[in-house]
Amino acid sequence: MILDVKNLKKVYTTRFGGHQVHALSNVTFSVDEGEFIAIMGESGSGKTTLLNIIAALDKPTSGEVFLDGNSLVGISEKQISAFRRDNLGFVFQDFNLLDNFSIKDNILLPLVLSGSTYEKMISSLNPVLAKLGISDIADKFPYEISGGQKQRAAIARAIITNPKLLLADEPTGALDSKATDSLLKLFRKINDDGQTVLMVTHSIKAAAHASRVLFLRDGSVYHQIYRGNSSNEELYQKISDTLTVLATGGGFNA
Amino acid sequence: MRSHMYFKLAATNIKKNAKMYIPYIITSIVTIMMFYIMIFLAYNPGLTGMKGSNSLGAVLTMGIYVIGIFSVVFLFYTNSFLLKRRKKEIGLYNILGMEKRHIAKMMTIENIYSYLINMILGLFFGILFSKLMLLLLIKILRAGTGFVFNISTQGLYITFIYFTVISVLILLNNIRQIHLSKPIELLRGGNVGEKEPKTKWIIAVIGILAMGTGYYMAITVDNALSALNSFFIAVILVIIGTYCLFTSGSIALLKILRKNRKYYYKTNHFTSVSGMIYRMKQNAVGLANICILSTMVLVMLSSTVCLYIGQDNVLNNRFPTNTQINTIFSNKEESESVSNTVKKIIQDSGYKIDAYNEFRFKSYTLEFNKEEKTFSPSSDIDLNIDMMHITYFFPIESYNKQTGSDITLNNNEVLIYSPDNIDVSDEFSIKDITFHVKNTIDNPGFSIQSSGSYMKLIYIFVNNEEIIKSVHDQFDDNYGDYCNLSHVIGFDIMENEEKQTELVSNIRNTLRNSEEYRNLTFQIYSTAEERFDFYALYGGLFFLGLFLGALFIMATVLIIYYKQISEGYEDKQRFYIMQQVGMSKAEVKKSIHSQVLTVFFLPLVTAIIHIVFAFKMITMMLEILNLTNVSLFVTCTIATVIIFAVFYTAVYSLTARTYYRIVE
Repeated sequence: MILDVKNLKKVYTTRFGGHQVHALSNVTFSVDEGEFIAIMGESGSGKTTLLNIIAALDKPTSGEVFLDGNSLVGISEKQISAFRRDNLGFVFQDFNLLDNFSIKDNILLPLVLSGSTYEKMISSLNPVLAKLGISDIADKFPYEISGGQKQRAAIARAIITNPKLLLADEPTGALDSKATDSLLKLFRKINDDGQTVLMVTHSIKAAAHASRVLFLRDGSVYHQIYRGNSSNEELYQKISDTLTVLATGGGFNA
Repeated sequence: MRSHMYFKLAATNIKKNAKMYIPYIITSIVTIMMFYIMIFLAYNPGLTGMKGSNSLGAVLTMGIYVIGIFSVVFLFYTNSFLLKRRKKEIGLYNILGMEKRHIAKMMTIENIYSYLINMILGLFFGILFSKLMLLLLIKILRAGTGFVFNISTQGLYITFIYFTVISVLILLNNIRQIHLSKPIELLRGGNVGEKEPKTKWIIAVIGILAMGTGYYMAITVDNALSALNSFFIAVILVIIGTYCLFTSGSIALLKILRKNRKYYYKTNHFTSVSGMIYRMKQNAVGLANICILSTMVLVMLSSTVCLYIGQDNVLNNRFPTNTQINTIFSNKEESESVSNTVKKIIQDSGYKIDAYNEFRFKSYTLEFNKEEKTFSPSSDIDLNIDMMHITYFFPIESYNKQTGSDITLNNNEVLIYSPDNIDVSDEFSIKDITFHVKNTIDNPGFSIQSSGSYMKLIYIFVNNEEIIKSVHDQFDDNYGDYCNLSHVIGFDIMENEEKQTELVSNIRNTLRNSEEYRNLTFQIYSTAEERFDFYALYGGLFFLGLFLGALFIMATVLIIYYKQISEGYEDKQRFYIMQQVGMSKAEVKKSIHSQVLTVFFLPLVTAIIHIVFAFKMITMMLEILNLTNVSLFVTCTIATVIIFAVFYTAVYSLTARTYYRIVE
């Protein structure tokens, strides 16, 4: 078990006290090594809050998160960045590449931050570039390449440290359908190579590539679907049905 | 669209962009105010009656031009900042369906609003503070009365016309920019400049050459006149060099650092080198501006402060004794008689006299050739300035009289005195005449009033006046027909200035009105009278230095402010991304902080380097103004630099707060 989330609760208090918003009321789930999890839910269901807490960017009001047996909640502010750098990879909807770095340097950024030597960096860089098919654009700058390429570069940056967990927040949100398809295949490929992936998404198509889909509603895990032996299309249908039920607001036994 | 909508939109636009608009409005108000005050002072009716009013008037008028030119440049500059930041907003209006002429109309109304605010408040504060500035000027000039406080209608009129024209030009420029642009470009306007800058090697090399030449000129200059000649060129070269090096040199350097993998791929260097490339591209020109402005402020303040504090030093250099009476082209008998008359007047007054001296002399500007040991007239002073010497010829009689000694010379023998320690060898010749140096002396007992000490001086004492005439004949027509020697009487009146003035005017009236001296020309100076001229000139320069210094500092502050704000908006995103990639908040903050620090202190450090290199040159130019107290200038410069640096740091930390508020 690589990730274990227990009774997570997050309450936002508005600035002048008074109003409280329960972003997460009680979330419990766990992820095994090598899984590809998709988390779905409507806007405001707490997806992003959950992701931020798992990424140690935010602290829960109560509850625990264990990554590979280590508690994230108790970790000190000083260690948290190094921890994040070594154990987690991030992919975002809007790529979040830095304009002033070339693609190569963007990908190397986490390695440079953790202080490895240039030789080591290059030896981890080349396989990653090859895997993501972006060797030929390594020396370009973010403004010179397409959205799909940017997202590949972002994934390369996320996995170059061999993180225990790859977190993706709406990775296909800013891409056209063709780029989306190839990117999702890429996620599958990375996952097949043994990378554990946790993806937050709105897109049924994206979720249909996962090995398990969690549904969040009103701040807790409402339902989950295992792929089992289903094909992408079958999983797509199941997810779609579940979402319809969620949207109509009925109980799941309806 | 109905027209009152425009007015409403314009008003809300100004309110919403207050962060950008307020500094612009403040700049305009202050420049208008200063422009008015300068005109008010320069054309003050009280000025014309004052002693030394010519110099002061010239200095103040120069101030008007400087402020005038500066306002145009500066207002356009701040306005372009404003426009750049607002391009996105304007693009949005365009896309939402406003036509360009509608936007232009809205812009016009906005500009009219800000114009009205600027003009009304600018003139109001101008009138308000003109009294204060007048009092300050009077204090600096140590002038008692004379100035009149009024509202200068002429000043109001000129200021109004001038700044209306500038406003119209700015408006036209804004409208032109809107018309030229495409909406999609307008939308991106705020983000232009994210491309990796190209290395412009040629410009970087030009920068190095220009800066190097400028510096070289500044440190190799060895006399005041050539300093004066080359100062302007050196300044231009250094300005060009600064701009080139800030824009291209910095990027070239950073790129070289980036190519060095061992250096670049280190945690600390990685983010700062690439961050700096990005920052320098966007800020280079602004930073070069800050650098040049800072240098100007420093040079201006340090030298004017120094001149002002050192004016007594200047006065002493210029006038060896506090009273001096020159009788031009007089023969011996006339001199004798003038001398007796003056002595009698002094005796009658009963005032105490000190350091009385008297001598007859003739002076030539001659080229001294060390190798050939010759003095000769030179037709081209500029070329041989290093070899030119002001050469004074005296009859030995003057020396004997003054020092009480009894030296006799042969017709081919001379005594030499050189305050600049010029080595004149045993023998020298002036064309056909060869002189033998009998002795060099340390102190002739008197010194001659010098109007500028940028040329070296040599005193030559010869046997009698006939010899001076024969020397003159050697020069052919270079110095015209031979005239008599001039006669100088110098002494200190050991009384207060009122009594000095009284005695001097008494002497002046007696000599000038006397029938006996009808054919003689007198030049009569007293420090008591001349002092006002000095105060007017140096006080005026000092005042102008302070005034313009304040204006330039305001400009510097404003550029820093705008830079910080635009940096802030751009760093916000980067700050966020870096945290997600695995830098801690503290690390990110440290990295950004060090970059911002580098960016803002680079101009100050460069300005100080400029000053260090310019120091020798400025010292020599101050020499022309008779200020020879180098240690005073060192002190003034260091003090100015320290005060400026403290001020700069204060401004930086104040605006840095705004910056961090935006980033977080």
